[in-house]
Amino acid sequence: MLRSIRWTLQLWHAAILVAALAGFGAATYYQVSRSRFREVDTELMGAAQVLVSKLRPPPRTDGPPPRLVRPLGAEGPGPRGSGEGPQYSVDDGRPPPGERGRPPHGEGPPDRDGPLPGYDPRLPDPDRRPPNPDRPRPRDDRPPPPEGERLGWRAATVRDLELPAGFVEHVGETEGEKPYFIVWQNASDLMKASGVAAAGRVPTPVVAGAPNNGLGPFSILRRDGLREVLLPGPATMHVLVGRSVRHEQERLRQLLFLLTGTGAGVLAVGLLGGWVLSRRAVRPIESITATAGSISAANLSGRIDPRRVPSELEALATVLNAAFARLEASFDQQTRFTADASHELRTPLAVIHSHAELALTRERPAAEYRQTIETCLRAAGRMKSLIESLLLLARADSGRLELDARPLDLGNAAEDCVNMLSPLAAEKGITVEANIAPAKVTGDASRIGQVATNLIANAIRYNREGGTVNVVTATDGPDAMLLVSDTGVGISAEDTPHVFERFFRADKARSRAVGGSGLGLAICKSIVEAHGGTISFASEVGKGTTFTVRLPATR
Amino acid sequence: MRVLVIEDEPDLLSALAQSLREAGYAVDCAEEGCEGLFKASSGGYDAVVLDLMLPGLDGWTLLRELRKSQTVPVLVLTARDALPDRVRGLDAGADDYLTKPFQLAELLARLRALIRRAAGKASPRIAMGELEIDTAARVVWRDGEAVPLTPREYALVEFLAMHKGELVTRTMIYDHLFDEEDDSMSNLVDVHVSNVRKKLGKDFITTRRGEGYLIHA
Repeated sequence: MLRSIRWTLQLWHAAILVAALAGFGAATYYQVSRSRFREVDTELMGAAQVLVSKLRPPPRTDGPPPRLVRPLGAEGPGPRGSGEGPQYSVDDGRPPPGERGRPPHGEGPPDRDGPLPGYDPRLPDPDRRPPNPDRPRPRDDRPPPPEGERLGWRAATVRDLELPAGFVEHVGETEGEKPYFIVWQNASDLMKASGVAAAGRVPTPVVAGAPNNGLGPFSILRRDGLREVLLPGPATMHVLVGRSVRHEQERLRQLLFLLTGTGAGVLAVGLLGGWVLSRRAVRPIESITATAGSISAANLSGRIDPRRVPSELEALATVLNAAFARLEASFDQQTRFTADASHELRTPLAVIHSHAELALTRERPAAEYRQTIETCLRAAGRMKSLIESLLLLARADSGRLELDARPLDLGNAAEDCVNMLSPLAAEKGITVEANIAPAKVTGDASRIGQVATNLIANAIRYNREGGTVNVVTATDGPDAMLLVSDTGVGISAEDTPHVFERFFRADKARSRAVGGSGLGLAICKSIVEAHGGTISFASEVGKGTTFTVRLPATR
Repeated sequence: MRVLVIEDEPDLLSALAQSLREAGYAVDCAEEGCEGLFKASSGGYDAVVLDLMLPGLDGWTLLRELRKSQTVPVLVLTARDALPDRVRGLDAGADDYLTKPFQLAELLARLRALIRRAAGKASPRIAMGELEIDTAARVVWRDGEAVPLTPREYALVEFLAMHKGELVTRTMIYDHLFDEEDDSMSNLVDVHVSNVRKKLGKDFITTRRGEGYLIHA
């Protein structure tokens, strides 16, 4: 499966999709949850600040330090200007104090969400500055009440303390979800609780150690299904405002389901699309495979249309087509060779067959039988030499031509051939001139002799009446050379590329009785090349042809 | 019946010519394309046996040239047995195709069929009154008995029977019964006609004086 391009693509596709969807989902969930809880926290903080401000003792008149006087609205990024959540103003018109509280031990982690809107920690809290808890208030014009009156005021205030009405109306649907508050002092000395806290369903958190130590302005408590803001109040009081966030948690769970569902849907659609796309991507490959598969030995003419494949695969199609073309050419050549070879073998076979059949049709005189047998023998001899030639070519083709390589003189070999063929030349009135110089080579004497005989016999056979054959051997640098020239008709430009082809006869007008099988020059080429040499020719139509054999010379 | 054999392999040509002669045909030979075309175009042959791979003029060209003037049946004889070669030969105007090596018996049977068809006869037996000529066995039957005839006499009877109802001149008979190597005189035809009359009845062959011979349908 992993070797499949489609599956590999699909797996990568799936991995990328899953990563992207998971990242998107997580970011969305985090963002939504964070902003929702910030909203809740802002509301709670606003309410808590209202309560704290109500708990502050009435202002006194003993002169506030002028540096603390701060007109509302002239403080830059003030508490009211930058908030997003609802703001609950205090009815005496004083600005909400920014107080530094201390996070309770073990009650939820300290808030890491940064300052809430509507809360400015830079504002000094005059009420919380030890050792003087009753510092003068800014913008305080009223006379200070006596000490007893102040204590009574506080008790009464605590007794009448209520959450801002708008806040209670605004938040929660059922009674259990409505916000509540708890006010206590000295760690666990409950002063007042409202809502579900009054019913005892919310325990008062334990705030250990001394409060008001200035370490933190407020704490956010997250208890089971609740969210609470704990603010230090005046003196040793603590104000906690909380509400149930089960509704929000439920909404977030729904959001999580929605995100998971949507993600799964998108993943499914993406994978399906990817599968379709990858199929489209590999389809041209399949089509190339099908075309290539349909091209067999029986039918090599098929080609892949390079214009119908994508540009990335065009090179592949072109390369395959070129390979098919070479294969087809080679098969054609092989087929032609086989047809020619069978033709050359069938003719003598037909001679033997027809003569034998004829001889057997009736009783004949002995002389006729003798003639028939002679004819058959002649035909068999022709078949034998043809089969030997074909075998030699086949061995040379497969590189298994056995050479009995010994040092020999090309000159001697040529001279022997000239002597052997002179009677044939004389019969046709052709003069053979030999210009023999020693040319040492290493080779198979009988094969080299075959080359010389073929070339000289050709030169005699295809010469004009009374022409000349010139045989030259020489050493030329690293090469030993054999040149055989005739004064015949020459080879036409049209025939030039085919001269060394098997069964090629330049002069088709020659009957089989005169011409050879058409394998002579092909055999010469194979033998010369097996010796590491070359054979070439130069021809001029009407004037003659010169064949040149070059073999590596030995010294 | 006279047949022209065009074949460039001398040993094969000799075997073909001899077997055809022994089968009662008059046989002419050509070893080369141009010579073959020349002889075939002169007419007077009942069939031509043609090798396709010929020096001088190849068999296909020869056939095309021959078909411009002659309708003589041509049996192509070749070592090239690939389908395209056979189709090409037949399309060039050949009537039948035989690949080398071949059985002489088959060659002779095919030639008989070609000659019979060219004469418009489908059956190898030709019935004339009480006589029946079996062209396959080369025998003339009279009342269920074989009439002993020499090959020449049989050839004469067969030639006349193939053209029954038509006037056949002495030259035509001579042309179809004797090949180029026969140097016999044309009055030999009269000798054969007289011998046939003796064996098959006086009225079998009608003489039209100064014109030729005729057997009635």
